[in-house]
Amino acid sequence: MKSLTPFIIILTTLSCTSHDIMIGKNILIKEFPQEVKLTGERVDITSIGVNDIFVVDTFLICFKADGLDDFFDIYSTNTYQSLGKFLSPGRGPDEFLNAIYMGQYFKDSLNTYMWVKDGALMKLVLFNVTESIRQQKTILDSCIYLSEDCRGECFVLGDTLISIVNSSYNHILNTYDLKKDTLSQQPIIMFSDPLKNEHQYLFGMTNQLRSDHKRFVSNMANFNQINIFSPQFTDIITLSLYEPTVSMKEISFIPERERIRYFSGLQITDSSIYALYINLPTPIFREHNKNVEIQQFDWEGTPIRKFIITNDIIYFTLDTRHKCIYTFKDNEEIDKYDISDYF
Amino acid sequence: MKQFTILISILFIFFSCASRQERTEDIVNKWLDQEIKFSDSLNTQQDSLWQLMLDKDFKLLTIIDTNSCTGCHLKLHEWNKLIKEMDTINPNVAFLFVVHVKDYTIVDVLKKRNKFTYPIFYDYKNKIGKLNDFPKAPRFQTFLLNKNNKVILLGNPIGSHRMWELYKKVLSEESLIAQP
Repeated sequence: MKSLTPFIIILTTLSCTSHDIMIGKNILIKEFPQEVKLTGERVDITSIGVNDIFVVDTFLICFKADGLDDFFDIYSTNTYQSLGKFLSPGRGPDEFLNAIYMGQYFKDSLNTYMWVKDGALMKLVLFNVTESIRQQKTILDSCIYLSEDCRGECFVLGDTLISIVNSSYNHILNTYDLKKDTLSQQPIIMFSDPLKNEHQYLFGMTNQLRSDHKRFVSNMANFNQINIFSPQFTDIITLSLYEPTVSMKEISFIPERERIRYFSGLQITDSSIYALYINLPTPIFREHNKNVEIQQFDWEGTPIRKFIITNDIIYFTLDTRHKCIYTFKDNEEIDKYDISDYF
Repeated sequence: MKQFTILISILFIFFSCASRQERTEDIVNKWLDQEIKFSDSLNTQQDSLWQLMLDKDFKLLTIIDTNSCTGCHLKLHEWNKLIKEMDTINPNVAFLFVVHVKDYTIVDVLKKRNKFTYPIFYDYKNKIGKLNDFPKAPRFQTFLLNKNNKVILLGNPIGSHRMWELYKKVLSEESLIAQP
């Protein structure tokens, strides 16, 4: 028995160093059933100082984080004609210090609306895109001032706001009642940093909510893992790409600037998840001559295909109406890739 | 008396919403005249410059602590303009930008794009944040500090002309006092 003691100690130590990022059903994905090499064409957009792009219905929106000459430059996805500049910087009622599109939009018979959050002024607005273009000025149909509990990435589910927040060394999912202006249930700890590093942005999560509000998906900048989970955090599927997920401990010991950048973008439809997989060291992920992948999965985590792009893109957006992908490079070039055969 | 006037000014200038005023007052009360603690070392590449900046008579400290859109919070183009203006008012002010973000490469990109040559300090381990437990709201993450690192004013002047005017007023008065 005495001779077994060192082994027991070693085994215990090893088990303590292995930390799952999320507990749930884990699937290791080693390959994709289909591999498609895409060729793109340059999109002639005149905006300057663009940091990201997104497609909302028939609008291609160039987002300028500085807000210089407004935050949003809007173009038609049919003609690429400029439709105007909207959301001005400032502290006035219709102005913003920052304007983050929350990835949620909806339409009624007349207009298209987008949820936009200002994390500095802590307000959530419903930006009426169609009416703004018609009147050539920013039209906001509602504005809700948020409490500090609503920091982080947010999603609107009727009168509820779900926010995913880095709090101390935990990643917390808050459910906030917008009508009562209070937290509607106890915050859920999604996962904790095992080394208890306070406010270390280890995960760099990007989240998307499916339109029926029944599933979230997230990917992480420095981990080769995608998480699919329900808003109440009851059903969780995790996908490890190509190899088991790198442990949190291992990542925390690598200096920030030397970490591998695995993911840098996430888009969804009601049937699929699309994730931009870069898998390059952080110092070069913005500028390189390697291939990157846009991986497609269904909502059960089954791999469908991967698109290979021979370009140093850093973000992408999906145009479901025209069945294409727009990619964005660090030098602000935008390219369009037709995926109509795979939609 | 002077501090009381500044406190009242901030409360009226910065926020008009009555429901948020109590919280604002609490934050201002907590931080005014509070000493900000700095670590001797942030990261080895920037330590000598860091010490040099800390020795200045006044420091305008801005904390950028975010895991989302870094460019949204940095606003380097706006800061460029304010720094140039301050040079003519009180040259003995150091602008201390301390960033703790998820992606430091974007800070390099934004510096380049905005031709921002002023130093930005990378707090990889969140040392300053851990020492001070700053308010979470970005509007309270800019502080004017005196020689002893005590807070004279707080509030983000970006996008707020009146807030910036208050900073200039205080710093031009201090500059006159300092003159022989």
